[in-house]
Amino acid sequence: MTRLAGKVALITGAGTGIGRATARAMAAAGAKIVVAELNAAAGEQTAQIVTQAGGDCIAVTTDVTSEESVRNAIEKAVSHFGGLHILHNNAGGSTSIDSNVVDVPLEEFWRAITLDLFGTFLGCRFGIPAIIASGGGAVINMASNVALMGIADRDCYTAAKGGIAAITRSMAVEFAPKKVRVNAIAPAATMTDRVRNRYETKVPRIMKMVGAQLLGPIEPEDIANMAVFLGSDESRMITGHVYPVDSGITIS
Amino acid sequence: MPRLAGKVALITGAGTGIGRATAVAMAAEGAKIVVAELNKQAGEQTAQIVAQAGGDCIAVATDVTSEESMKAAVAAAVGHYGALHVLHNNAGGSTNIDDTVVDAPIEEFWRVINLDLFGTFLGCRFGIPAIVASGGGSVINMSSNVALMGIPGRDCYTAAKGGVAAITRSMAVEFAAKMVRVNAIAPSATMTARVRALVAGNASLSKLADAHLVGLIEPEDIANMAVFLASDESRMVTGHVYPVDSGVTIS
Repeated sequence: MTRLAGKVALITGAGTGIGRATARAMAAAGAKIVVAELNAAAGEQTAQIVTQAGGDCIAVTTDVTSEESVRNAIEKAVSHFGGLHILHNNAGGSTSIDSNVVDVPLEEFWRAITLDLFGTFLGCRFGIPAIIASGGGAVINMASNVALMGIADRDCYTAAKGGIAAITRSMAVEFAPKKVRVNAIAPAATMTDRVRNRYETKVPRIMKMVGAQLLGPIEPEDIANMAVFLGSDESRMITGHVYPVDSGITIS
Repeated sequence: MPRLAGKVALITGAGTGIGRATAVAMAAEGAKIVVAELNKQAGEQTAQIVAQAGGDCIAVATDVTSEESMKAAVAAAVGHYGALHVLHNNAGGSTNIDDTVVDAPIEEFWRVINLDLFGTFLGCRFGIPAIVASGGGSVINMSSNVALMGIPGRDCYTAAKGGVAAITRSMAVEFAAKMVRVNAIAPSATMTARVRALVAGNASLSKLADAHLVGLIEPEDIANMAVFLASDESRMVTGHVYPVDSGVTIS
């Protein structure tokens, strides 16, 4: 498969879950991969998995909430592979501490905003110029079904993901003339190890969320398939959109 | 492994434009193709193009606005290839007769509702049971950016495409349990031969080009999305209307 032949992709939070599945899928499609992960051991493990499958991959320990760290990760990608064409701002995710606006600890608000929203902002701040210098490419952000419908008791996460959906559109308009497409994926609850664990221990909220999925539970590979499509030239006429991959949750 | 290996796909309106590009793209990914086209000659020509590229394809002259004809097309697909997995309700499109609700000829309203909306309805009416009988699959409807934003001067087409978007969601809910996914693509103006002729040499071409942030859309761009939605890569995607519009809707 060569759908991403010749492309360099940087994926944040690629040490586990959706990020790791995307690293594997993009490598299988021919992309060179930069795993940008906070947990050095997890990042190295993803790099090893990709390499063992015949892919070309490096891991760079990255804190997406730190200007210096994100700038360094982008520089590593460009210096090692000679360019950057795909930026997948994947790091983040909801926690069980999140709640409604009245009850939630304020610290959770700033944690989610810093990691999910500001992390995406920083990824774009340093990644987009590198993509432009490489002749253009695709940014793939991670929104969520919470940004498209009303889901109770996750108001911090929802604020962050709504912000991501909105800047996906504004950045798409801003950077189209420089050949950078910007889109987002809006997954519903996906069976990463983290979610699967909460599902198997029958956390009521997770049980309910997964139970509502019309076509069965979503696996990380399902999100990765969409990321490959949005990273490839097959989607060269798609920009500014938030595509749900949600087993029908949003519309039912 | 080709992305649509083992699948049978029926594409309405596949004698030209987006339908033909989708037939070519799906065949290249290993699907067996049924070209369901009103214009017999155009349908045969698509079948020939697909076959010459090494694909497996038949053409069935089909009027998507006729119950009998649509039923026969689905029956021909199942009769010839033994199953149906992908139904692309592509037949339809806007005309320059369309106008605002006040000025459009009433005939244009019924023409486009009959072709775009009822044609999609009939495709699903006969295609979905065949997909269910084949163990599940994917319906791909054709909506439009006019269903997602306000575009003036095309109120008949807009009504039809809005209806297509809405039944895409309701059918997704209805048939998920039977392993049928239902999604739609919302293209903006796509450079088919028909559209190219409409805008050639006049001011609307540069207007179109200005509104399309990453360039003008070719039929192959829509076909790429149809391949994705038909393939098992999108097995967790149902009920959605995915724009392929060069950024028109959001800008």
